Amino acid sequence: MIQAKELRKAFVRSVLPEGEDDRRNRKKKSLREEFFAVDQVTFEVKEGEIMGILGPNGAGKTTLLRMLGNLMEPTAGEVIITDKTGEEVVDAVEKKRMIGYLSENTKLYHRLSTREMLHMLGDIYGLEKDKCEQRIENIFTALDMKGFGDNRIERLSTGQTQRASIARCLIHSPSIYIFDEPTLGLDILSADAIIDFMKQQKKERKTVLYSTHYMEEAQFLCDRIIMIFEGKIIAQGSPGEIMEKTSTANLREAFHAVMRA
Amino acid sequence: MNTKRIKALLKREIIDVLRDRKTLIMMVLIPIFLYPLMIFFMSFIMSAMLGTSSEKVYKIAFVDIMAEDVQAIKDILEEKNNELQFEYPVIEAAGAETALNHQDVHVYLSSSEDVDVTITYLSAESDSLKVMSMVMDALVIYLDELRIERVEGKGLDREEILEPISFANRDLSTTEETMGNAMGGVIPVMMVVTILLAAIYPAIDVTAGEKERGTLETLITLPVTSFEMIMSKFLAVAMVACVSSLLNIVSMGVALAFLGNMLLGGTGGEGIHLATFLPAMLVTIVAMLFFALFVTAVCLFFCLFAKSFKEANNYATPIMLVFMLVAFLGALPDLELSVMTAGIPIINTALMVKQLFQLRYDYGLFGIVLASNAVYSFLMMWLLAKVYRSEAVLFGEGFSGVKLFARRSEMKKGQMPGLGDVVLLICIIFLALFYIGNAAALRFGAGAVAVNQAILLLVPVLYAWYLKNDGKRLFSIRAPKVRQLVGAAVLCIGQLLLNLVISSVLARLMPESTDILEQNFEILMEQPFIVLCLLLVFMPAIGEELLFRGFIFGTLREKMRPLTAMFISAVVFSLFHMSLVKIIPTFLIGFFIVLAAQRSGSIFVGMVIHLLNNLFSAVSMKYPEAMYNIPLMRPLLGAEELTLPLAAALLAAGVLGTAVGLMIIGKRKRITNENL
Repeated sequence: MIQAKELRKAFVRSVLPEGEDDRRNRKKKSLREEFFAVDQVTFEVKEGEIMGILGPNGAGKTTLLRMLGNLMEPTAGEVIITDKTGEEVVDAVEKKRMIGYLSENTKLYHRLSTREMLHMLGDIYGLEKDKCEQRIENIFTALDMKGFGDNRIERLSTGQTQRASIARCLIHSPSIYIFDEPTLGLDILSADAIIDFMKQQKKERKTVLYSTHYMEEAQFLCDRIIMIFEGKIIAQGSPGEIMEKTSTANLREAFHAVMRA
Repeated sequence: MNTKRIKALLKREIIDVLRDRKTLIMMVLIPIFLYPLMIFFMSFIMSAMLGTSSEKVYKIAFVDIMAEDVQAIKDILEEKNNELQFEYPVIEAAGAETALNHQDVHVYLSSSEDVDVTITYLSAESDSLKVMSMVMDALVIYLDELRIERVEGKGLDREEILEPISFANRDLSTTEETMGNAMGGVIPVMMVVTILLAAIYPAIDVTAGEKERGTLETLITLPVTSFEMIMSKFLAVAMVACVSSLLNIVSMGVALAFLGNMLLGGTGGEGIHLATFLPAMLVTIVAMLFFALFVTAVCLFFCLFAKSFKEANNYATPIMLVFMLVAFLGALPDLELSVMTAGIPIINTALMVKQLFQLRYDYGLFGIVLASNAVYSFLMMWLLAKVYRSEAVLFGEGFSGVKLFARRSEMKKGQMPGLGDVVLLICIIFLALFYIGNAAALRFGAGAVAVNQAILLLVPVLYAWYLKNDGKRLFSIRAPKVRQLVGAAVLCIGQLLLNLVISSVLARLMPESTDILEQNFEILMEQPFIVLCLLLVFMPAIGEELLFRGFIFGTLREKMRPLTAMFISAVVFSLFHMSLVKIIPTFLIGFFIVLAAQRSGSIFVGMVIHLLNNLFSAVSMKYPEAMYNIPLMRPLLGAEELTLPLAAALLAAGVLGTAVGLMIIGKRKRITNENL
């Protein structure tokens, strides 16, 4: 289980001062100011649950997921991760061992093949050689990667690279998956493969957190949804609940309704 | 630290480097091809030049010289340089200089009332210079002939008059030693350049390259500590640097040996026993490996802050320049390897290699050189691991910590400076002290101290004003309590005792350096005591406190843990005093003051300590005799022997005093926005 407790992250940005829009003063003067990319976000995701995080660009989704993935220190608040026995994991390295993190920014090493990369990761996660080998074979079968698993990653297509990325998150069989827009820019076949994968993980009682822009996808995949805007949660609940609350027929309209409000 | 994880990461880095063609070419092909190619071209150009010089005609004009002399000089010149061709154009005395300037002649000889023969030439023209020296040689021979002729003409004994003593010189140095001495100056510089070239590209690749390719975020999703990450990168780059520099040296050595044998074989001269240099070369390789660690650490240190390849490349040039300049320093003839120089990075390796090629082996000093390189590298790695954890480096925008480069109207009121601002401020102050301070020293003498102190005071204040900083918070402007001032006085006495004992021990270890110190103060000592106090006591207590404990520490403590911030501010403070002898005492006092400032939260407490400390030095410098009347001052100020038990007792008293002082000052909650 993963829990966010009053998470906040402060950044510095340039803003235009208000009320100085007169024509003579064409030189735009910007001010640096501190702002919260994520502001007081609290929620929890249980085992066997898929949580969708929705929001427009710049809403703070990636920052939130980075903090949950322990890549970034929160300015305030904390991320609590508990293992299967319900005990809290404290050590930062151990926390990362529990998580499979995938985002647009986690690129792969181009000069390695998928197999070599997985072997390297196996060594880092401390897997035994035979076990690692076995797991790689399983992953290749599950993700249908046998045909290109030994090619260098720089020669793979977009869809193949994305599958290699998923393989990267799978090798240590984590109990929590954090996916930042995993289906972005993929064709239907590749996107469906990833969606099927997430459904499969749900069946295996894993925790899945994922952000997306595709409302239809989120609507039928997620157990629960958080909508964030300017770092704050503006709506949360199951897709059904959100649609009911906004009295809309689908998630896309619900999103518009929430944003208008 | 988990070695297994480091090994796995390292393996990946190495595969990555080896599969990158560009690195491979830089690493292997260039060293193997470069040196033979260079030598091939050099010999090609040299032979081409020799060819042209044999066809060259050297023109010498004689103006108003007696025909008899002219003929004799011509004969000697042609006899001595029978492979060259000479021509003797006839020119007028009036046009002689023009002819020389237009290179119609290479030199001309003329006579005047005072001097029989004057050779006029152009030292900027290599041909003119060459002909001049040939003519000079011919003149010397001619002069000898004339002397002999005259002495013998008078029926005198030639030997007795012209050669009253006979002399000869004999060189006991072997060819190897002479060659080694020459090589010792060149090889360190080449070594520094080759290692740097070998290390910088992979260093950029594993840091900025990783950021640019987007694999850094992948790396930090893995369960590895930042130290393991840094260590694997460090080892990978160091390995590449070592292999590449070894290849470089071997290729260079083989090519040079080949060339040397070819040249010497051609002239039939005595061959050089390269075997003499074998031990030196082997130890040089060891020195290089340790040096490669240091270079790698430095390269990584700077490249880590770069967000892109391009930015990292910008850092590479200054690193290169600094390294080369310092390595050139090592080639200076007067600089020798000693306990002091063995601890200075870059110079120590350059001096060690120089000594090795002079065939002088001092293994104790060599040990210090190698150990200091290893220690510096490790320290830098440790520091890097701390920095690598920070998000500014991982997700950051490079050196975004500099806030100065925006218009003042864009500054947000009450902001704090960035880390880059601290670096920039130190650079600005250094430049100001260098140019304005040195110019002032030439013009005003003792007044220059006032100028320097004014720079220290004004620059940080102006900087903070431009940034619209919250001055109260940055400079810790806060009224001190009476208790804290008492504590400051106690602490000052404690640290004075401590530092006096340490200084007197250090002065014994490095006796010569104290004299230089006193010389610098001589002009100051002539000033009245009031002026002295103003220059050495009041101004530093205000200016230096505002800079070191105000701006620098005030910024650092916002960005890092207090202890790290205090340590860095004390190191900068001690380096700023630019004295190797005083480096430990100034570090200690810098640390105690910053500790007191941090605990009290008031810069005035630090000012009081600084003021009292400088007052003591000023009094003891101006009135040493009066100080000697105070008990214990004679041994402490170096006028009497400081015995070991006394030193230990005073040291203990010093530590106690310092601790008590700190206790009296008390501890305040960490300064935050809310409670200021």
